[in-house]
Amino acid sequence: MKEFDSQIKTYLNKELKDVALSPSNKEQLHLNLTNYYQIKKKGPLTAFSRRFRIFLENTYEISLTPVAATILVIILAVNVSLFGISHPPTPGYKKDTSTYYVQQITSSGDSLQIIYVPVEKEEM
Amino acid sequence: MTENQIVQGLIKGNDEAVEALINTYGDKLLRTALAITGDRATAEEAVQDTLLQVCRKISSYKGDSSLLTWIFRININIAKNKLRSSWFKKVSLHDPGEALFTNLPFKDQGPEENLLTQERHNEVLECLKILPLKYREVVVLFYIQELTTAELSSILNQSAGTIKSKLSRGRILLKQKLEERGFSF
Repeated sequence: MKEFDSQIKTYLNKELKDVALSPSNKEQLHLNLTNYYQIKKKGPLTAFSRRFRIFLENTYEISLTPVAATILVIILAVNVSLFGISHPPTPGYKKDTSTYYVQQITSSGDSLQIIYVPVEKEEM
Repeated sequence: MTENQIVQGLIKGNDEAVEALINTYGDKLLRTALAITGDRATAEEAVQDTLLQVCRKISSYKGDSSLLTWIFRININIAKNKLRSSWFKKVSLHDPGEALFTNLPFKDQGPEENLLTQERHNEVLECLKILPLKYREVVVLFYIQELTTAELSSILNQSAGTIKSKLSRGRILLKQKLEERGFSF
């Protein structure tokens, strides 16, 4: 077993000896870790607005200053919390009502549409 | 930087400590993660997740084991979780027939000898990859990182007896698999 140990160690160490993080790996790691500390120091709102700003820049090529991005995030957050996000009713009981919605498929010209029709509980 | 300086620096968010962390432990973590997952991209992700977790949890490091042991504990758990994730099982790009490492020339060898050595080493790594995870993690840390059974016991949070038993079983299995592929010891 001793000889086996010695040979396996030789094989594995020789094979993995040259396995190392590349300079670009290390740079990316450094960036990510220092980013983490910046987020930690400045708080979640700043962190989120920073990510939002980077998203707008990369996806839509819209550049915003950090302050503008933060204000926009606050406005969006207030809107969502006050008015919610609207979506079509799904089959089933709506919350706090006794109205039940069923799916119906109707044709409209060449296309088919799915609509939701309220049905009173007694009719079911 | 000493271990203590790195720890204190990470608690304060010191840039030099972050750099020292990456330079001191990055390569070791990559080798271990690579030997466990068998996939370079996944191993690099595991290293990033490990170092991020180290920065997040550094305040909880009590100094009852070495910093390296503590970091390896995190690294092993993250590498194992990545292996178990259903995403990894679906999209792992590593073809079992493909060599894990290529283009690593060895000094003082001709090209033919190089190729043979390369093939032999890849056979060893393939056999390692086939080992059940519970033996693989012990074998990897023992042979690649050259840790003692006491250190293994601390990293894997298992008794010394369990570690010795797994190491013994792992070595026997590895030896069997290698002998099936024409190795002799």
